[in-house]
Amino acid sequence: MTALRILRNAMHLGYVDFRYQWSPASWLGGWCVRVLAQTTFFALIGQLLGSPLKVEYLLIGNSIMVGCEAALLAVQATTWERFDGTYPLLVVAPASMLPSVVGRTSAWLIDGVATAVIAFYAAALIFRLPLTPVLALEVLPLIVLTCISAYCLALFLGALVSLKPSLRNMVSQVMRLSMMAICGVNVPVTFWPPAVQAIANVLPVTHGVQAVRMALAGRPAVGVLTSALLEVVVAASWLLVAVVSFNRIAERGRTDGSIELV
Amino acid sequence: MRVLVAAARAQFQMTVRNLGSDLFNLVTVPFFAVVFIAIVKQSGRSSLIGYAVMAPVLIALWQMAIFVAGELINRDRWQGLLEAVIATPAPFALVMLGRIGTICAFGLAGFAESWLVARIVFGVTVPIPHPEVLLPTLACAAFASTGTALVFSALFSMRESARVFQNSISYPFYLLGGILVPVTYLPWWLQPASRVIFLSWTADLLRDSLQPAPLVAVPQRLAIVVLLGFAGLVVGWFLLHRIVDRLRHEGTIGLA
Repeated sequence: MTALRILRNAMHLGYVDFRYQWSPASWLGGWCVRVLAQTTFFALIGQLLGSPLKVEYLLIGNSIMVGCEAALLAVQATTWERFDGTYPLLVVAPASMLPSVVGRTSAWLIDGVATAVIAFYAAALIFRLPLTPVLALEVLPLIVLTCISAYCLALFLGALVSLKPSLRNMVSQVMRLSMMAICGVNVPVTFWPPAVQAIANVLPVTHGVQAVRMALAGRPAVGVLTSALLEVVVAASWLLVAVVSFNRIAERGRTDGSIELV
Repeated sequence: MRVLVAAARAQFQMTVRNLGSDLFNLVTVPFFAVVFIAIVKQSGRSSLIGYAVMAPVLIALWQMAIFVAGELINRDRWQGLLEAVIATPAPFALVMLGRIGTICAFGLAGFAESWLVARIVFGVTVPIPHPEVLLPTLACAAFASTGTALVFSALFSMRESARVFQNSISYPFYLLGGILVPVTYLPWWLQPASRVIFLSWTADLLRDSLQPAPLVAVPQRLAIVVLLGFAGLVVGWFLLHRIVDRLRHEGTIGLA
């Protein structure tokens, strides 16, 4: 019950953080324009390459990836407790840190889901992807799942960068671009050497985007569900690692008195 | 000229001592290069690899202009330097010009990064048949990005709310600037807008410098890049002086 109350209050704080950066007008006129431009930018590469199939491939991958990018902003948001001076208070409080961290950063997950949904369906309309109303509904949970999965990784990275907050932007950006490169967003995972493929398979996005592609290609439901299930496993694993990391880092701070010294 | 050189030297020293923050955007360049080159290579269109190599160079220049140079005034304000800089007898815009020019020049390192990614990660050596076009184009692009950054540094310092657009204007400009895909692929009604962005002229010149065919109208095209940079410089100069006059008048230099 206490955890739920903390989560609710922290979500309100996250909403205030979000509104500090974006008003509805600037989000629609600034962020959404950027997101559509980004998706179109990659789609045009497909046109440059002279391949309608590549246009479709890049559109699907990048429209979902832009949402995951927004969810990855949770990496930076996790460190704001350090800058606000509230991190030590969270550590010494009798409740777990996780509800407050998840609550405060959840605004970026919601932002990510909204971003991906808008980008995907707008791109489908503009570039006339073969998307029936039924198919459009089928892929919606897969898009949401992929963003949640990226958010779980962001929580883990947020725990790590809370030890070195100055690295927050670099870690978030490098992870974002790495995922764009190797997770099947722009080229198939099989394009890369086996070692890179192994890394891609334990990262978010890879299986989620694959599930969307399979659904859109009309593949059997069992294949789509298998990929979706793999994405769930990846998301749950990163969430577990994030929980353990937050607890370990907080405990270490309590033990050696370094809570405020990073 | 003495002020310009002194400002450039001071910024060089500040950037060298603050590599992680100022040159952070150069860390992303190899990743962009990997993404773009992978797309082209996987599609089997090796003739277009030059396009994929040049796009990250322009991304580096743009990001240095927007995220580092564009933030200079705000950073000075947070560090309590702005009052001192404005109080000096040197023209504020001239000091900013020297500093922003230095930051934008660092962005040119993106070319080496991108070329090396093609060589090391993908084993592709991109030949440069027209270095006599490539080098002046890079120099003119650095100048034009300096002019553009001067405008943005003024705009971002005017209102906190303007800074939210810092993250939003990247891809619209990459798209309109034709940094990877030539602007002829854009709808006809967008193409005139592309032609007033220095990135589009620069991108065409950079791509052409990698083609063995003889190039046409290079001096004229370079002149347009310089002209667009100069236009930005004039607008930025005007805006900066208006801002400084207003801050002095209202007594809010450190408070805005």
